[in-house]
Amino acid sequence: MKQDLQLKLQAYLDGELPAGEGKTIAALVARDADARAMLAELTHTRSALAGFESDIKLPETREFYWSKIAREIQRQETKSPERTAVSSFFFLRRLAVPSGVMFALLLGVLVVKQQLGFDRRVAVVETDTAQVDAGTFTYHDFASGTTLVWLSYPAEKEFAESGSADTISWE
Amino acid sequence: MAAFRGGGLGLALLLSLCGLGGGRVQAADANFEAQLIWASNDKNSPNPKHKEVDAEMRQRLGKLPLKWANYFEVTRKSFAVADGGTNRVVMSEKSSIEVKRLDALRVQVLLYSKKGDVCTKQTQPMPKGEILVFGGESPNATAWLVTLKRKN
Repeated sequence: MKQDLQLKLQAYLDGELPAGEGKTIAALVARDADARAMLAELTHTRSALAGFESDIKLPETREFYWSKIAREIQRQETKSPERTAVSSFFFLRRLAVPSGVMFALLLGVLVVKQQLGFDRRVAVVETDTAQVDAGTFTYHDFASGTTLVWLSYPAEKEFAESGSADTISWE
Repeated sequence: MAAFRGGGLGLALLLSLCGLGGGRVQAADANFEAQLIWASNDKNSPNPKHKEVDAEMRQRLGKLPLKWANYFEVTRKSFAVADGGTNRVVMSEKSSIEVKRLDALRVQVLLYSKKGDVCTKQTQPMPKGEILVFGGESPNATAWLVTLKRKN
């Protein structure tokens, strides 16, 4: 039986239907055994409950009582869900993923820097110039990776004997 | 499961990086380029064979406390040095340069005069792109430079 028909039977039993629709339902009950059985069931149920309802007394008005229930339902719906207990293993597992990746990246950068020689500060520390000439000095530019060793001795005596730029005899 | 996937990613990255490093360790020869350069404030070199140094060398020399306006390339020599080996190249009739590889990174560089005397000895790490410049003053406010650059 359709729910709509059941509701109309309930309304018919409670006397809530308009006169015209009430006649229609009455005609239906007269000719339909299922409708008749349903109406009988509803009648029996109402008579059974009628005795209990009279004994229940609310401490406040009916409207206020139901409004309290409605407010409690609304409060529980808006309340944020409680946090479930997080196990330490779950917490460590969540940390392990980014930590592992970061460690691998750091190690990789160190390996690449060492292998490709990007760490120029180390290069300077390990630099050693054996000075034949007391006037020699060394300069290192960190940014460009360029080292200058400036000599005073051999330039004029060995590398460029000529006295004029026009007669350079390096080749 | 997520942790395992993350760990696997890290391990793969680590292995690939180690593989990169391993490949480098196995590299045998190191390639170098040496240049004899004349530094001057004159716009042109008296020797028409001389040409201006390339832009990169010009920029690198500009980072050094050198006062000259122009740099002319006199000689350029490319050579290789085996791991642990030594190679000596003549830059001019008056100078030569010797490079000895102490390990994968460190080199010992000797600058020789015409008579074969060692003018200076420089020991330092020399990674790819590093440039070592020897220099000294010449007459008429000019200077000579011998540069050594590691190519790989």
